[in-house]
Amino acid sequence: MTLQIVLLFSVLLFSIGLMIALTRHTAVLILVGVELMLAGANINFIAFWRFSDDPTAIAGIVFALFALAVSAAEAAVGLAIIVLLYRHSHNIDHAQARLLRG
Amino acid sequence: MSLIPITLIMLIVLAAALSAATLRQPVHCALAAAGSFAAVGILFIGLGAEFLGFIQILVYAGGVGILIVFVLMLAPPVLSGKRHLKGSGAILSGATVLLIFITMATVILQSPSLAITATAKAPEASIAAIGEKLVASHLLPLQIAGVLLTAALIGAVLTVSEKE
Repeated sequence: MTLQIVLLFSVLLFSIGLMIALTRHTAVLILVGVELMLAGANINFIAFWRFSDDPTAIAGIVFALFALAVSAAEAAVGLAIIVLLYRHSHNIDHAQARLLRG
Repeated sequence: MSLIPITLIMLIVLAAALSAATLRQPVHCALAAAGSFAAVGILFIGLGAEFLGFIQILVYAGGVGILIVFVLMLAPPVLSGKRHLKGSGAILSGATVLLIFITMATVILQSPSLAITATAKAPEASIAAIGEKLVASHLLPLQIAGVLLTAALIGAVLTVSEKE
C-alpha cells in the first residue's frame, strides 16, 4: 500500500464526483457530486498524514475536520436554496432555472 | 495497516460512487452516495484516523445524506424520460473528466517522492492530540468554523421557513 495508490483512489473518487456534478439534471444530485469531490479531497489529506513520519503532520487531520465542517454548512445552505427554487418554479431541473440567464 | 480490508473498502467506496453516478432514480443515487460517505468514514478508521472516521460517518452519512433525502422529499424531481448519461453533453463531460483524471494520475505516478509505503503504526492522532491542536494553535479557525456553521444553519432555516 503505497501513498500513490491511495492518492490515485482519491483522484478517482474526485473524478466520479465531478462526473455526477456535470451530467445530472437534478440540482440536488449535483450537490451530491460536489460532496463526493470534497470527500475525495479529505481522503487526500488523511493519506498525506498517514504516510508521513513528521509529528506535526496532525495538521492534516485538523484541516480535514475543518473541510468537513465547511462542506456540511455549504450543503445545508445549498439545499435550502434548492427548496426555495422548487417553491418558486416547482421544478429543480437545472436546465429550467434560466430566469437570470443573460 | 492491513492491506486486504483497506483495498476492499476502497472498492466499496468506488462501487457506491459509481452506482450514484449511474442510477436513474434520484433517491437511489442519494442513498448510494450516503453509503459511499459511510464507507469513506470506515476507510478513515482503517487508515488510523479513528476520530475523523466517526465524525465523517456521523456528519456525512448521518447528517448530509439524510438532509439530501429530506430535500428530495420536499422538492421531488420530475423524471423526464431523458437519460443523463446519453447525448453530446454526457460525452463532453466524460471527456473532460477523463482528461482531468489522466492529468492528475500522471502527476501522482511520476513524482518519486510519493512512492513511499506506510509506517507500521499510525502517527500520533489521539483525540487529546487533536483537541490540543484545535484549542492551542488552531483556536481562531475553530472559532471561525463555529461562527460559520451557526450562521449557515440559521440562514438555511430562515431561508426555508415560510412567512405568513
